[in-house]
Parts: sequence; C-alpha cells; structure tokens
Amino acid sequence: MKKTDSSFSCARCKDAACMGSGERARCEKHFKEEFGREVRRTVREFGMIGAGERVAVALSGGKDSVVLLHQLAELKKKLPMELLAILVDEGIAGYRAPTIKVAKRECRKLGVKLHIVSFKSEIGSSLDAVLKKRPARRHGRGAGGHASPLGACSFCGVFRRLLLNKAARRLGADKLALGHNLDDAAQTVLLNLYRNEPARLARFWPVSVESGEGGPARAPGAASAARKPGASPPDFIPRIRPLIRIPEREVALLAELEGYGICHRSCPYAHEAMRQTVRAQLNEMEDRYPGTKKRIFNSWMAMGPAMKKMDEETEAGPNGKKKQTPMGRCSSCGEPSSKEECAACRMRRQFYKHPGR
Amino acid sequence: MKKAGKPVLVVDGRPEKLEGRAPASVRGLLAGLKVSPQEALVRVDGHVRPDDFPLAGARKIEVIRVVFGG
Ligand SMILES: [Zn+2]
Ligand SMILES: [Zn+2]
Repeated sequence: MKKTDSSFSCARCKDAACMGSGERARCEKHFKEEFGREVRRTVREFGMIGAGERVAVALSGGKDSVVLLHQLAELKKKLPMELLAILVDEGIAGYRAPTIKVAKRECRKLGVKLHIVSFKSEIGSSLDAVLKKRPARRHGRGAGGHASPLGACSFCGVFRRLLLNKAARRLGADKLALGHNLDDAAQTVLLNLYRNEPARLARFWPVSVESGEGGPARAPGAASAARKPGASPPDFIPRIRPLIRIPEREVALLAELEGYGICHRSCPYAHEAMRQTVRAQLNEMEDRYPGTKKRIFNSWMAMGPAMKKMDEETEAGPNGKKKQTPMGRCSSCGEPSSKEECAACRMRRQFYKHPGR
Repeated sequence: MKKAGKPVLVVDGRPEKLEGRAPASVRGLLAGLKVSPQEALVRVDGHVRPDDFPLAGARKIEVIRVVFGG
C-alpha cells in the first residue's frame, strides 16, 4: 500500500499530514505548533492578558473551552497568570452531565480550580424547567425557521452570560476567557447583518470591555485593561476570545489529536437557533470557496473601528433603531446594563412569577 | 488494483454500512454520508487524514462529527 505521496505530506517536514493539502498540509507536530502560535499571536495582538492577571475560563467541557483551557495553561508557562475555570450548569438533562465530567477531569489534570454555578441555584430553575413553561406557540420554530427572541438559545445565552460575569467578578477575575472560534465569529457577523443589528456588530470584538448590550469595542492593538492593585473590580469582567482566529474544525482536530475525550453530542436545543442555519450556510461556502470564514473575519476587523465610530456618532443608531445608552446599571438587579432594565430581568419577568431576585 | 474487502466504517462510534462502491477519498466518503467536510474529522486506520486522502486499501475508517458549541 502506498504510504503517503507528496501531496499528503506536511509542507514543513514531509511527515504524513493530518490536515490541509499542498502548501497547507500539516503533520500533527506542525499543526499543534502553529495552533499554539496563532493563539499567542491573538492574545498579544489584542492585549488580551496582562502579566499576573487572574483569568477565568468559561468552561463547558466541550471542545472549544477545553482546548482554550489547555492553550492558556500552556501560555501560562511563558506569561505568568492565574488560571481558574467557571462552568455554568444550565440543567439540560442528558447533555450537561457528561461534559461536566470532562471539565472536572481536564481541570484536575492541569491543576486548575473549577467553580460550578447552576441555573437552578442562581435563578431558581433549570433551563429544561423554564423551557417547559414556554407558551405553546413558541415551540416548533425549529431548524431554518426564524429564531424567536424567547428561544432556548437566547434565554440560555442571557443567563449564562449573567452567571459567568457574576461568578468571574466574585472570584476576582480580571478577564473572562471564552472559547469562541473563527466559525463563531463569522456566524456572529452574518447573524448581526441578517437581523439588522449594526450596533451589536459594532460592539462585537475579540476583546469586549463592556457588555454586548452596549459596551464599546476595544480598538485593535489596545493595551490590556489591567486592573490596578487594590482597585475595586469592575461590574463587567472584560471578555477575551483567544481562539477567535482558529476554525472550529481545527479546534476539534486539536482536541482529537490531544485525546481530550470530548463528548460528541450537541445540545438538544441547538436546532432552535438561527445560528445553526448560518453555520450550515457558512460551511457550504467554505467548501466551495475555501477561506470564506477568514475573509469575513478580516472584513470585520477592517470595518470594526469605522463601525464603532459611526455607532457613537449617529444619534439614532446606524439602523434607525433607538440608540442604546452608555453602560449603566439595571434598575431591577443592579447588574451592568445599557438599558433601564437588563435582558435577564426582562426575561425573568416573562418566565417567572417573581421578577428580580 | 488487487481486490480488497470493503473497509469497516464507524460513524460517531457506531458501525455503519458502506453502500455501493467504496469511496475513493475522505471527501468522497463524506459526500456519500451527506456530511460537510467542515463538520467532520476522519481517521483512516487510526490516523486523522486530510480531505483528499485516498481510501484505497484502508481497513478501518472512523468519522467523527464536529458538534457545535463548547
Ligand atoms: Zn510537519
Ligand atoms: Zn437586571
């Protein structure tokens, strides 16, 4: 049997390739090396982590966050930082338990302390229980359909972000690291265009210094917002996305090659999200026109500063919708919010009899 | 080419039947399974291989679906 002809050997060392072709073909060793280099470059370029900072990794036990945890643990050998992990247990039967096992095991391996917070203990109900109470007409707006603002993913996302921010703040974290990859970024750009949300798009950035509901994006190359010793922690813990330049498939490949033992099961509510439709579209585009996701990312990087400026200067907001106010506090719960009442409190009122906490 | 038996196919840990002629490459296999190459990794005889990798002579092919999220 033919071993590997030159088209299936690494362009760097001629060993058998695990990915790519021609000049882009890479063996395991070179793939892993370049992956790490790309993560370090992203962290450096966006000033994501300052020396000595406490970084909380939003860990779900899925491929992206587990890879992120390992990458930051590796980076820690060169850039001193304190690493910890926060896992949000939404209460999704049959889905979350196995990933919690993975998260615990990987944290133990790396000596990282894992903090678990749950929807049940923090907001009173599991996601499953909340979604059972949804009005019947909300059901069935499934794959390909228009995602309802009260869809599972919107609800889950709002509370997951709230719980992560609160836990990170309580633990004194300087940064909250998210496992968003290149696919997530390209999807977010398209989703915001599809939904006519230019202000949201203008605020989406590899580093967010204020909540997605109204914070300005950090300019590229800006220095890390390190907190001065003794200063009180900010309400909103800046979010960093060190994997933002790495395609989802390569994140999965690294997890597979490293044998992280990730569960390959998707969330039972995932089909409800419009994002899934966009994901399929983008993957088809990537197959036909390789590099599509990267080009969307690069366009986003090029447009970001101009969009942010336009967003700040335009009275009504670039899409004619009412502009959001600068970051303040929610009148009900006191959490950071760009609106009078935060999204979590608005949703809470729709789903629970008892608003606020 | 010497006549060889069809390779064993495993998708997400479950054995699957390879319908029709054995696919020539990883890409062909995924097309037959209606899986986007962006959403799968393929191990050929234990090693993850690129999309254009030929499957002639392979004994075991494992398809691992890349799930969203995490
Ligand atoms: Zn190599
Ligand atoms: Zn609130």
